[in-house]
Amino acid sequence: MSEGIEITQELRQAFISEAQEYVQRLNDCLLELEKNSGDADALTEMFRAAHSLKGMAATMGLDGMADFTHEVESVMQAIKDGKIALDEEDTCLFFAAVDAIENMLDQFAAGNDAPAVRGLGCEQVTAQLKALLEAGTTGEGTEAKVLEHSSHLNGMDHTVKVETAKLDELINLIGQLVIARNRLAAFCEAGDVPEEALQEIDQATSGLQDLAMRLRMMPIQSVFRRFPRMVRDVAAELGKKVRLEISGGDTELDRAVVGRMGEPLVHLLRNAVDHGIEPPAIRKELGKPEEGLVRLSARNEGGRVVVEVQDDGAGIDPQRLLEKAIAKGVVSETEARQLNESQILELIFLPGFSTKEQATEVSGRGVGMDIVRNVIASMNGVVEVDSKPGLGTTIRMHLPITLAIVKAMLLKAQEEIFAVPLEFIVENILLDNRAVKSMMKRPVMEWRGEVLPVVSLREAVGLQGQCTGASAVILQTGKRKAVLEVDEIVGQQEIVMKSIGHFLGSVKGISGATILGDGRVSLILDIASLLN
Amino acid sequence: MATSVLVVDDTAFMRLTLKNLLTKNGFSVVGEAENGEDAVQKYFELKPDVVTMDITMPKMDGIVALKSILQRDPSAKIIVCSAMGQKPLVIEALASGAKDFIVKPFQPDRVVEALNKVMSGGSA
Repeated sequence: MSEGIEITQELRQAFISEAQEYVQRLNDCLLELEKNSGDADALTEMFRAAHSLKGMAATMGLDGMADFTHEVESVMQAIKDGKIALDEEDTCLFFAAVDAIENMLDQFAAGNDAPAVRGLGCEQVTAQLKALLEAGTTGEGTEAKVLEHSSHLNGMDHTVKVETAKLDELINLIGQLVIARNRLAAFCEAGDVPEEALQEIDQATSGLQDLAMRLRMMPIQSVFRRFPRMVRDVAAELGKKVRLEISGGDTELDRAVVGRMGEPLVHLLRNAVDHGIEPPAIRKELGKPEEGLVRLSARNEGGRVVVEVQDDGAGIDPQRLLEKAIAKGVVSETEARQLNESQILELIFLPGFSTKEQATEVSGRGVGMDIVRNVIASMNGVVEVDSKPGLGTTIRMHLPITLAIVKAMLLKAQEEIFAVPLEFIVENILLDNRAVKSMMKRPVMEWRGEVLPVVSLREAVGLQGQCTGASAVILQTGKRKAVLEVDEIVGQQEIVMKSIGHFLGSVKGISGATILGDGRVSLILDIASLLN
Repeated sequence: MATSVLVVDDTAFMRLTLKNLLTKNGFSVVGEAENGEDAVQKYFELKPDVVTMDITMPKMDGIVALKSILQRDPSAKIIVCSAMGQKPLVIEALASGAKDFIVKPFQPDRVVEALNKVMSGGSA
């Protein structure tokens, strides 16, 4: 059909990414329609998305897809014109139809140039769509005028698409500039460079860095948007009633962070629906509304982004959790007795831990909380759990806004300098050795009414001897705090986070490396693992 | 000088397709618009020789945009793009002053022919 139109790689890519956008839009509209079948905006939008997809598919020469979307469009048209009333069953049919389109798109993206409607009961979908149409229409022209309306679902605004690779290159260059500036600062301190020159470079570099960072930022909405559909499907499969409330989707994060949030959120939301929310009958018995509530939210908080998954379900019973942990040999009974409630809850993050006896099809047996923690920790993030039996569970993730350039505190142990991202540091203190006491054979110190463990940097990184001097910093990740004893606090600096390379793999306690102003390499401490 | 064209379509993919096609055939795509409102504004900003106008678009559809442009500039040369099965709309567009129509999926020869014909003063 598309004789003559040259299908370039660029065109192919443009097609796939835009078609995916339309599939997403179809899903969004269906969810709206499921709530309110008379939503005219959603109907119009859905019709238009199907129409656009049809035109695009035809242009790419994907006849199977064009024909199928044409069916969908025709039925949408009939509904829009009031010839067919949309009932619940039809909505399910449309969900299946959208899945079929997505499936064809996936086939095409995977290299199949003639994707066809197949599997997933798609043949039936086509037949049912046709039947629906015949029942409701007299079979005349398939398009009416689309009314003018405010289209809240149409997210295309004045933006330019840039290849990620180019952006990364820019960030890398700016990273080098930051390092050069830091070196220059070192010369300046020695009196070799006039200070004004440094100030100008300093301003320009900071400005560039800030801008480049913002270029890399994207709203977390792009991950959030697929969850309404997923939660709906999981709830339907389990016979539960669940309402998903999403807020803060416009919160911006580095695209690398956003890109890695999908997997942990899938786990957490599935868990919330599967293990958290009770079946409607039980909820009713408990005096709760039959429909469970799952909240997914994001917000900025103190230079970091907090993403939360909250449910009003059964919550976690710490006693049962502990029994289970002991039975599984995750902790010994002696250890168990020393754990406080929040420490008990944290046991769910240990590998292979599940409190649900029956593995369900939805969440599987390993609930995957260890996966969640690993992903979050690998981004210098922290995950916490809060739960009240009978009232629900909240999983809270604190994430860095960016992974590329961070403000860090430089700390010295012997002659080595280590960097700690500033967000982990609460305070610098003078350490009075007499204040350090021993508790259960471990050094602790009282700080503002709290008893904190004292960790020596030398010991943590495997250097010999005791820390000299009287400097320490108070570290915090999530609820956990500790005192880190060092030889010297060197000062604050912006550092460019570099990976230490694949051949070293992941080194416990180290999350990366950076190059200092004097050209030396400094290792970045992984505070989350240090405090465990 | 190459004929200047304003490409109007709500999908970026279609705009890219048309742009590639037109550029390869010696036309100069001077602007793109993704809805009717945008199209009207860009038309008077860029004053292109020809407009290719999609019909189904958000905010303002192609027919309304076409009428709105022709009202202020009766000499505007607009070609409507439609999908199959949009016959009644194509007729409405032609009655409202569209010079010609092309049907998706585009056939390059037909597109080029339509533009050349419109430029040489012919009409459908």
